[in-house]
Amino acid sequence: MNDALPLAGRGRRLAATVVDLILVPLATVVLVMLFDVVEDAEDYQSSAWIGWVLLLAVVSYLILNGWLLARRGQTLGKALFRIRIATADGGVPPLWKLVGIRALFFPLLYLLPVWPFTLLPVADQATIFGRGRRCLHDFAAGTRVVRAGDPAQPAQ
Amino acid sequence: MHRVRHVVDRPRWRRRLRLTALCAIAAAAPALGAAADDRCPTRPSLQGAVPASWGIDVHNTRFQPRTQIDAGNVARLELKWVYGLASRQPRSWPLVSEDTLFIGDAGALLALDRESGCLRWRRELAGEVVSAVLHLPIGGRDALLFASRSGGIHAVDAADGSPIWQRRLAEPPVPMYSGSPLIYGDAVFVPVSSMEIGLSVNPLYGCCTTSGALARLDAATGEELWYRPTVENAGQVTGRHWLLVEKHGPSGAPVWGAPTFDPESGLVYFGTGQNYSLPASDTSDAIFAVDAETGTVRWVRQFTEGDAYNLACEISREHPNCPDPMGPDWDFGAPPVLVRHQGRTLLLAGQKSGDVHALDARTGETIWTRRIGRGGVLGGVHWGMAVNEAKGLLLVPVSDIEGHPSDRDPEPGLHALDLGTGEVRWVSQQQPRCEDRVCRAGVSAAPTVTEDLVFAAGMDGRLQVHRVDTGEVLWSHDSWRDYPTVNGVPANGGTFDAHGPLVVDDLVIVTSGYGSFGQRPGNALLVFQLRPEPTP
Repeated sequence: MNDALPLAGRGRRLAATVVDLILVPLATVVLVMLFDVVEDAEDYQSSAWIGWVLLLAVVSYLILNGWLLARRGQTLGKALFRIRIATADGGVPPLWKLVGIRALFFPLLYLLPVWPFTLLPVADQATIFGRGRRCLHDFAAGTRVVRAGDPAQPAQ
Repeated sequence: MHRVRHVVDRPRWRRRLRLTALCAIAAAAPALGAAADDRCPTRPSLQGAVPASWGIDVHNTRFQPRTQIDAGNVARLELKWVYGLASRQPRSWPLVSEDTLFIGDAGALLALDRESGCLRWRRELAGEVVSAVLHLPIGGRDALLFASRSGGIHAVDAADGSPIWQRRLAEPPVPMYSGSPLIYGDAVFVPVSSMEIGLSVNPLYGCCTTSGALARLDAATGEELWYRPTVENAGQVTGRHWLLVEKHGPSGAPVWGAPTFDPESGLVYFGTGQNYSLPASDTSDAIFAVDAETGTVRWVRQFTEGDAYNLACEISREHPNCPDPMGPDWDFGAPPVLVRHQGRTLLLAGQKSGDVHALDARTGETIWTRRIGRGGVLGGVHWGMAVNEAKGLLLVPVSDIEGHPSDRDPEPGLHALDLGTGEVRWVSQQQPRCEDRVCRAGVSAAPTVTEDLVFAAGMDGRLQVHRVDTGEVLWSHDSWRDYPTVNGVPANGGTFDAHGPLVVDDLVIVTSGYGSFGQRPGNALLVFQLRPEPTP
């Protein structure tokens, strides 16, 4: 673990998340309009439209954040607040981990409205108050969030 | 010291056999779809089953002659048993035979023992049961027929709930089955509305393309014989709103309530709701008369023009799917009532505007109109009315909850009108009881009338029995509380709404709790019975 890297502040992380939570749904709405998946009565004859909307949400996330994540470990929100996701040694995590585990797997926890799974999001967030400021999804993906532009950041 | 457990010495083949049998039973249970109470005899009888329709008879009078409850003994009415339903907004009306009470409960149909409330059988279904449970013979079997919200019309065997046929109508892409079907002979008349009323809240949805309808099915097979939409040429493109989504119209005019049938003229009558989008049609907020054999329209009478409204307007009038101008949403949700009075055949129609209309059933011409409420999105007149022909009275519940702006004061309660003139004979106005409860005083549920009594269930959780001549309250029960239940499921009462009380023999049966529109939810199926007369 590269302990020389300064951890990102919790306030910055929250603000970056809020920005992402605004931008990604907005982009999803645009794609939903473009691909016309909820506009007609026929779209609601089965539940397939829900799958389409979720798929377009993932596509929106990748369009907005894919390049930044792959190159710098950042989403748009994190770039705005000058923080980034890093591996233990300070490098950029592989994209599949950032998307497949960190960005996709843990948000799915919020979609389980059945006790005791309703506690999972709370548990996920609660560990940010630990010494390493790592949420459960950080532990699962082997990441932490640090300040960007720090000298310890590896060259791109 | 060790105790020897001989069970482990059983031959392996016996354990395997037992395991196989258990697996077979476990595998068969879902297929049977039934979980019965061991204490209950499982095979129900349909002997003496009532009602014949949502309106008790095919004229939808809600007049129940088959009861021993009268003004002289109603004070002896007491709670017999309570069943805790799974649904928190039950909206199925029961069928009662000599030994069984059949009722829908969320996504299941139940057969309960009439005497004890124990479960004879339970059948899981696709979709919430929303209608009256009716009965008919199919191929020598006693069958039950009902509608589920998204599953369409179901015919099942009364013996165990096993399916006979199920029909979703082909024409509308997003049908909503809300009203009760009507059975007459080999015909099943099915009212159809549309989910577009709710889909419209999505600003990316291109509101609205569908029309309400009435369909006729063959009772034996469920085959669709005719389909009568209420809006011709529904769903034309009318432009795009600011999110670039196409707008469509006309649409809507759903059929929310049960149809009414006149065997003498062969006409089926039904009311329609408002349009969902503009332009408005001349068939919304209207009463239809159609030929039962062909579905041909004999006459249509519209009472509110230009009424276009959908649930997007409840979010904001600026919502791109809210029609501009927005209409008042003055549906005919209550089924029309057919009566013979002073040599004429009248069709009585109660509207959510608070108006009651008496029409000539042959021509649709208005004989009288009387406004008795302020009206609103849940009425005015919401679920239904009742008629006592011998007394010449039409019993009209008025809801009048807060709604769209109006220049009239609310008049919630039960109103009795003269059949011939529409004059108000008496009003039992309800005073709001706001302490610790939803402050709604009106009567939204349909009442049931007998020779000398009216049974009306209020939105404040009170079930009341009135003397039909005067409106005097002779008996009441406050259901706004918790109940011990025969099935051990915790139950509470709440708002009475939807189908209202059923009276049969010495019983009164009603579900309490209905939370669809901000009312108090609940899950209590209440069965009252006359206490035996004390011996002198």
